[in-house]
Amino acid sequence: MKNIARFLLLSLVLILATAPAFAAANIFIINNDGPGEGFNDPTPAAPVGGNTGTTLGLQRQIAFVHAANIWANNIDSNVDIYVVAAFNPLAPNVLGSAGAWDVFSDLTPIAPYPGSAFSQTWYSSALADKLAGYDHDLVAPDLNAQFSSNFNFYLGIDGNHGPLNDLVTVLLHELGHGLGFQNFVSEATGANLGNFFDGPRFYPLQTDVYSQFTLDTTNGLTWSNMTQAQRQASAIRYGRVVWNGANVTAAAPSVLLFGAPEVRVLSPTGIAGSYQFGTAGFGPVIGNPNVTASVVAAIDPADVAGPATTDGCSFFTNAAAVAGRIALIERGTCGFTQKVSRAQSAGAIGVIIYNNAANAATAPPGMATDPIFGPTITIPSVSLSRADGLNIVSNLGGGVTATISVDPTIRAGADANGQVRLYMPFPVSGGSSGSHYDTAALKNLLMEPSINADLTHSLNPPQDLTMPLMRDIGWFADADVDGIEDSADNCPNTSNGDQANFDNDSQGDACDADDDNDGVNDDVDANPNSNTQPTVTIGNCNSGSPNVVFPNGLTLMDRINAIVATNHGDFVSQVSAILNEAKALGLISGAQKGAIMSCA
Amino acid sequence: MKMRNAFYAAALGTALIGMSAQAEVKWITSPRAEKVKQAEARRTPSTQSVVKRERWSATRAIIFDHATKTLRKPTAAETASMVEHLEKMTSKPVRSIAGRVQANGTRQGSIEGEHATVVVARATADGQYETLCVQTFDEAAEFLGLVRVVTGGNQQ
Repeated sequence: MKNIARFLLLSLVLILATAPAFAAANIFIINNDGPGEGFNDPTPAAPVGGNTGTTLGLQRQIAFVHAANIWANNIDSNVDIYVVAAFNPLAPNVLGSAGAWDVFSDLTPIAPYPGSAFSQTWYSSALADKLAGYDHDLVAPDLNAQFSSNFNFYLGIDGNHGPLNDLVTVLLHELGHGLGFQNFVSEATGANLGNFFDGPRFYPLQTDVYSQFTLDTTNGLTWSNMTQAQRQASAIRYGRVVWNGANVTAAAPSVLLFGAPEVRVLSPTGIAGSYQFGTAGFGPVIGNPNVTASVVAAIDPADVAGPATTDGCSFFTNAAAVAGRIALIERGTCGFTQKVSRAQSAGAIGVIIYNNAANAATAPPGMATDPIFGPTITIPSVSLSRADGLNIVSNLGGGVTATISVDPTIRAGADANGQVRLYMPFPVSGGSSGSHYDTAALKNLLMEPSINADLTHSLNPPQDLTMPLMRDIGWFADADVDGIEDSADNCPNTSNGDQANFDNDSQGDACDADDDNDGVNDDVDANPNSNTQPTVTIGNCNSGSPNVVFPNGLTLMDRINAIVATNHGDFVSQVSAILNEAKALGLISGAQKGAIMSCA
Repeated sequence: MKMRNAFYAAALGTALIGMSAQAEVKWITSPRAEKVKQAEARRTPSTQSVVKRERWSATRAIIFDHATKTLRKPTAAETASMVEHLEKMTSKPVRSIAGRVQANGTRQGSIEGEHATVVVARATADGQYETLCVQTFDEAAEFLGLVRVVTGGNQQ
């Protein structure tokens, strides 16, 4: 039994801090484990993969800190991020979870922090804090995380996890969700999050910042601008929902490789696009060779082999029409290999099998082979969902052209316009849908729903696209965490929220060694903010003589303006003395002195 | 160095220097952890399952038995444990949430971490595990091959 009071006294805080010049966020990991468990498990352990801990608990701490440190070194915030974390004995095959503790909208920032780019839009707690410049809830965490203490993770921090699952990678992925890589939509219903009453006033459901960048290319709408029904429909449009953020799109070419297996309808325009498909465990792999042809529905007798004329279980009655084309067959009754074998006999060059009514709600299946027909198959075949199959069927009258191929001009995980696809499978997967990159991505990405074994610990291009998305939603680069984005900051590595810049050059005063640009560095300048007008003026009289700088950093104008005279004669006398000094130093000529004196 | 870093450095008795800084450990009290404990205590498996008195069965071999080097289905106890944990971890607020408007106009939605994503895994024949990051119980159940067996109650 856990002792809560003792926990509070023994909460472990791992402080991750970096100097601002290197990008910074402080991430506090608050240990929610009791003595002897989780982070505090005393079981001896041999150091592994750069993890020097000598107990299981210490190794978990070190791995967790390592993952958090990677995030801390990539995101910038002046507000500390609190992660309450624990390792608990979870059920078999349940590895862990993490998420944002609270969400905020309509931020009220402290100047110069920018606040939220979108109104009535939820932001995860840590991101909201960064954008507003302060902690919105001083007694709540920003993220909550728990992981399995009985799953055999690889606890090294070097990524050499071999056959084990790398804890650091899992942590990076889950912390990413908690920091903002997720929407708050119910993909199953399309509903947004968060209607509530505050006193008598009702606040309706509202969108989230992730949805502001989730674009459905079939209708050109982002999820933030859709109705609930539109979002629900969009959530299963495999391959047609993309991330519409500039940073991700710009970075995609450096990460995603050209060439991805695709089932694409080329015409008619109304149904053209990439389709979610299942692959076959028999026949050639997609792309060997590419197949592009018109699609023809196979027709076979309704007989003992199969009761429907669309099931392709018997030899086709329209073999001539199928020959040289892609055969479209309905799933059911007989095996996948038998259907493809019949199509092959009819001379088809490829096969699409779409789900039957009994499987209308299921994803396109992976199609298993068998020892009878499987070895004889020489043409490529794929499966589609029932909705997609019927969509093609309904357009066959006007002719449908499709390709089963590897398109060398399209990057794996992006669409034809180069925008990175989000994972929108059919049937909808509440959670993995939308809030991940598409599994078609290659290279594999950290924020795909499956945490692949070949991932590195990088969040950035050219290895990964996680940070570009985080930039898009508001985690802007701000190395000095003064609220000014680095690209617009006149001192990106020195906090100067006021952006003061006396000489209006490219460097703000906070990082400019010579604020007034008079050639004398500030640390020895008698006046770092000198009057540096080009010529000496007295009253309305412009002498035309240069406003020269004395060795101590004062300009002629500084010294003339500082004169305290008892009368005009005294003023003229003091001006003369200053000019004599300048002349003696060779800073002005006699003629220039005369011009100034005539103004005095 | 920023003031806050200087403060932490002083508190830790160490210097925090750039990216080479090593994480330091400090034991403190934290009301933020208490928030999580309170929420966890309130969180129970979904009412729906309790009302329906559902049982679950495992249809897929997802556990690698290291003794026999083979895959096996979860036992009844393991299945029940998975269901219990997953229901708790995937529990979501209904679309209505506990919210408030702060004095400065900022809206706060208290979801108490209940939009967390959950990583589940299933073993493959070679003893490795493939993973999936999910947010709903149904998705986790489908991935793990858990099937609902309704035995009574308010069935629809």
